[in-house]
Amino acid sequence: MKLIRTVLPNLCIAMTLALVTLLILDSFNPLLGLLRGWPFLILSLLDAAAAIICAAVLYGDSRRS
Amino acid sequence: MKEKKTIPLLNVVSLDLMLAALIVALVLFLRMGVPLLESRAAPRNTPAPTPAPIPTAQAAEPTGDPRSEWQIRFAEHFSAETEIGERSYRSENVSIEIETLQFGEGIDASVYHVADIYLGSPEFFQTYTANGRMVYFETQPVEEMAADSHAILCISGDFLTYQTSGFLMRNGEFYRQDTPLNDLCVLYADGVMETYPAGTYDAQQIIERSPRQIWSFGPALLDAEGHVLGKYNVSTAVSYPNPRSAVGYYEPGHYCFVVVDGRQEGYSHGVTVPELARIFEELGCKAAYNLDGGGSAVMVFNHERVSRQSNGGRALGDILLITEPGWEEEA
Repeated sequence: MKLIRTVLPNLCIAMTLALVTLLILDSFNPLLGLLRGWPFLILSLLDAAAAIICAAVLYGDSRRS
Repeated sequence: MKEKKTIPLLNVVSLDLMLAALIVALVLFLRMGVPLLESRAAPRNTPAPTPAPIPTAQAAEPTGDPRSEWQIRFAEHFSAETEIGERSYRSENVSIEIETLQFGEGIDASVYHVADIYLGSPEFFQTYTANGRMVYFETQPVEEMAADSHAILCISGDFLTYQTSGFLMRNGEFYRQDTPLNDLCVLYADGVMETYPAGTYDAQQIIERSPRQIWSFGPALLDAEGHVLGKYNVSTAVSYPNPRSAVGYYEPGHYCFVVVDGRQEGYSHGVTVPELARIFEELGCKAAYNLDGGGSAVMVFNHERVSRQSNGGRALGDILLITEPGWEEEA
């Protein structure tokens, strides 16, 4: 649990920054198709999962306190 | 009591940024690096732009006249002897007239070049990819491509070699049959050119009509009646005034290439996509399609640049060209 609290938020931040970077790169050159295909899809799903887990942990903490 | 060590905030932020960069690099490698390595390991030669009669081309009327239907219909544009001028070309099969015009006024004025093209037969409209092969991110200077492909006239294409997805065909050979997010332009073997908004076409219907070239870039510039559209399928980043390259269609055998110079203050500002559409509407085209512009937009005629690229331009992934066998011996 301590590991989740320590590592997961940072992982979530890093993945979200990566997603935003890819969105910006794609707006300059859509031909590269950065938003298409499985790498972007998997990154999006992992980021979503990490965000949900972080939110759940934060919510649990706030209820306990 | 042992003090709890906390990592300085700056270190945490730096670690997060480094991790984000690593993730972006990984995605880029998987999306682009892997196809690049695969295509370089096994490069695929693209069909040479060698004009040869296309099986579905329309046969000459059974009147004893050996000329093709297009040669008869556009006879006033062709010439029995090959005549090559500074901005014109006339032969039995190909007629090209290039005009340089101005769009707009004052500081927003843009210079554009229109090549009016008549063909005696569809096989004289071809394409060529960098170094004659399909390798991801391969490019070649346009003069070399024009020389290798024996192009009388050429313009930049849809940067085929940078496309990792799309519905793409060159000189009758398919490269990809993915569903693209872009509008399509299809040149069929009978010389008809049609554009399709993204998501509105039936791939099987297109295939059954014997396409020769399929470009995936866009956007399409005109509606079915040849009028400008109200909205274009284009990203915001490229919708500002820019150099442009585009192809237009009047009827089978009659086409035009348009290249707009831009990003050159005092010479040519560049045009937006709606302005480019207006150029084609004023030309009277039935269909028109935007190709790769910006630093790529270029027109070369008789091995010399007609347009003026900003910053000297860039090497290209592919070109659209007009050619006929043996024309360089006549030059």
